[in-house]
Amino acid sequence: MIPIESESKTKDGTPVVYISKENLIPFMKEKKDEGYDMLLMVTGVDYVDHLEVVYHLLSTKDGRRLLVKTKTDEEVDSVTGIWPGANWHERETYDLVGIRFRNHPNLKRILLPEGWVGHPLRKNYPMDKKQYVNLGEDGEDKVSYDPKEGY
Amino acid sequence: MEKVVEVNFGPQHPSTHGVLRIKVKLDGEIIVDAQPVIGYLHRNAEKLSEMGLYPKALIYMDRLDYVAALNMELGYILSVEKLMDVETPERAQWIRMMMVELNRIASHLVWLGTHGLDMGMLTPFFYCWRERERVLRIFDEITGSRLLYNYFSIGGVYSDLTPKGIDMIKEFVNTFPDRLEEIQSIFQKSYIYAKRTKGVGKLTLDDAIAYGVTGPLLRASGLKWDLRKNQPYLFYEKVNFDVPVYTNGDVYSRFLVRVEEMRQSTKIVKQVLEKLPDGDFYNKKYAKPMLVRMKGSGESYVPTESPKGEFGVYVIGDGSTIPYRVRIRSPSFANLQAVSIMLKGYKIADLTATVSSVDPVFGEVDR
Amino acid sequence: MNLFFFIMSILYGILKFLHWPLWNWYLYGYPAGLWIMYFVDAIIEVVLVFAVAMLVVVILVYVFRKYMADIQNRIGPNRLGPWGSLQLIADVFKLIQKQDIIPKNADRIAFRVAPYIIFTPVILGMLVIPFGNVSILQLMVVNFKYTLLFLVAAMVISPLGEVIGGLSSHNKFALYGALRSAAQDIGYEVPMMISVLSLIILAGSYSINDIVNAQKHIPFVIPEILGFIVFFLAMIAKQSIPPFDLPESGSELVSGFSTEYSGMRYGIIYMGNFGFMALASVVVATLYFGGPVGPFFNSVLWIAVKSAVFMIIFLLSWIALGRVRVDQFLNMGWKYLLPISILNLLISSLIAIYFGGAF
Repeated sequence: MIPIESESKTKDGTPVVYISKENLIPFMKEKKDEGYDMLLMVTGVDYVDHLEVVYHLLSTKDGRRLLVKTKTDEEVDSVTGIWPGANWHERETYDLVGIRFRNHPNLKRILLPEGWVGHPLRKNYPMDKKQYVNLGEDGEDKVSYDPKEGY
Repeated sequence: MEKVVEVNFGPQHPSTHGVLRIKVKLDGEIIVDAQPVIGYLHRNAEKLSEMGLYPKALIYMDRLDYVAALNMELGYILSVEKLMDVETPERAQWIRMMMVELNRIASHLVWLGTHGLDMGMLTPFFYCWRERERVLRIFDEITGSRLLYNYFSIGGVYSDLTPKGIDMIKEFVNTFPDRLEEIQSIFQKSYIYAKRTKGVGKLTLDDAIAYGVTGPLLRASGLKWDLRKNQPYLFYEKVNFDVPVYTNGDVYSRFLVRVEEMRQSTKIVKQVLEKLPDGDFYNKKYAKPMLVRMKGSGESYVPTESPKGEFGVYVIGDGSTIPYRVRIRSPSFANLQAVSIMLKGYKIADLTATVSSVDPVFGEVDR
Repeated sequence: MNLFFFIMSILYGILKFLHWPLWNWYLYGYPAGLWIMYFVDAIIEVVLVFAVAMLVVVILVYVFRKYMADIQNRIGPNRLGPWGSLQLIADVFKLIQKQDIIPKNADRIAFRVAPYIIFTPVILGMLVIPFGNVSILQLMVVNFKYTLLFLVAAMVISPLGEVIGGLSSHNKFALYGALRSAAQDIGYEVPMMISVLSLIILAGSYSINDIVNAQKHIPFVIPEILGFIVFFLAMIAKQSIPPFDLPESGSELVSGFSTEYSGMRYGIIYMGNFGFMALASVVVATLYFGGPVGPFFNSVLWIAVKSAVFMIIFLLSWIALGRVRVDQFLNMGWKYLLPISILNLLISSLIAIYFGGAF
């Protein structure tokens, strides 16, 4: 049995489980064996003093739902080995919140162009600084702060 | 000598439904590897939603799945209402249900038409558009706009049904099933269409669940999983409808599932018209001036069945008037991920069939 | 359509009459030094055929647009001229005005030549079609022993243009379009040739004139029903219209071999396609339905009516059907059409033996 840090409920009645990030992978494996066969999404939340990763689990057999939360400092183990569908969700979380997933097969930005500075969903992301994207010579996206170099 | 040719399908391509780019490795006509590349329509609706008041984020929800905007609004509104413990009058909930089902029909019609185009059939597109136009006119009459409605509000809806609108809906639900039959027969009676789609783009149930695929794709793969039945929200448990399920998991079954869903939605709309109670269409306590002072705390996620699959908005409030974190669970995003396993080993011609059978809408995938 | 054919045939007859001396020189040899007249005559005739083909194309495009719009609950072109009939003229002017874009790394010469190659068979094919008689003059530009072979050879040219255009564009989609065009061409060309061969056996001649005359009593479609089906499907594939529009396949390969074409070059390809549709319907009407020969009277009217029917069938196929997959098409070509055409060859050989020589 993997120790649970604390438990609560969301406003719509879904149970929430807090787990330490060391125990995340064994806990998730256990939950998958318990019947939570679908990973709906992976989310990162920036609480300024720490980051939190939220996993929404669903059991398609009986319809149970579960939220698993982990406190972290920018790095956490990837669950792509358990649910292959976590791939894009983790990439998106890395892209927008800036949480790195260890052992992820292809941890690159997914929505923003490669080379973007900063992670927009962080609370300290500078919203007034515009970044311009253009196509580089090699066919990849290039990002710069200079409006003349992109659009 | 390298035999594999790498081709970029998109982002500018007639059948990528927007701005999807697929990096395809081809051995002759056969697809060796296909990787979808997304992000060309990214606006970061989540960040934008975190920058304004709770009701203001609604306009960004409209712009997610722009062919089924009311379904997107519903996901957000339900979550926020849970977050704020707002009670909604019954009439408002019935109205919401009806509008959402009408929008589901419109969305599936868009899909059916463009799917026909992808299969090289020019004509069904116009028949689908003709029907969709009628739905949009109904929306125009009731909500005041044709595509981006901004119609649901916290605690109700912005305007009541008009008598003319009700007449239009009645006329629509009475004539639509026959016309749908006609459109369906264009596809189903075509030997070429059946040959092109049966056994193409196969997705097994295990893969579908592992990749988080929901909606018509999951039902076409053989799991009877419809949130309207399994985890009812609004008043779906009070109406009668069937959930179509097919087990082949190919493009043809997805076509059958969606067509049948349109029929069931019509049925639901009919029943709502009968059962529509009188009363307020919004909660007087939360009239407009109050809304901007609404504070939310805690977190909530209410899953809804959008035309593409499970849609929900995970909202975290910190007790202020501005949402702290908004995360949109977009079904097309997860469904699109499974495209690469659906395509392996098929031909180029199957690529368009498969991608269009997923029905991605890029406002929602890229957010 | 009928009126149009009628007027054109009268004009053509007048022109032939003016060239009566030349016609005599044809038959009895040119006086030395007058060879230049031969070329003048040939050029006039080719220009005339070109004009006829273009007019047919203009009408066909208009009919196609209106007919398609009618089926699809639309109005179609309705602004320019009566009922929008001048829309195509405006489109042509628009296309001419457009910037001429040739991709950077394209093979410039091949890229420029390809659209004309696609258009060539329309003119070449029309040269040898007998359109019937006006008083003593036969409406046929060129007449010699092997006109059927010439016609078939002329029709083979258009896939060549597609392949050249696709390969020279320096674009992967165009490349795939060209490859598909080549694969498709092999798929239907062999059965088509065999079904044409059985016509030759039946008529006992390589001349289209003789084939038409052999259908005085019974059109060839009755003994040759299998061959007709093969030939008809091959004709649809040759025009690359749905369901066999694999070289273009709008939604898969962007626009196939014509991806990089724009402006007037694309216009020529477009016109070539419709011109070929006209040619194909005329050829089917001639080879299997007796062309100008018909019940009650023999006239250019008959071929006009027959080919109009086939044009409508082609348009319907375009409007109503989806696209087949490449492998499905090749399967159809090699596994069904080829055996059917060979069976047809056998049947027509038996008929020829039983009834002797000419059917």
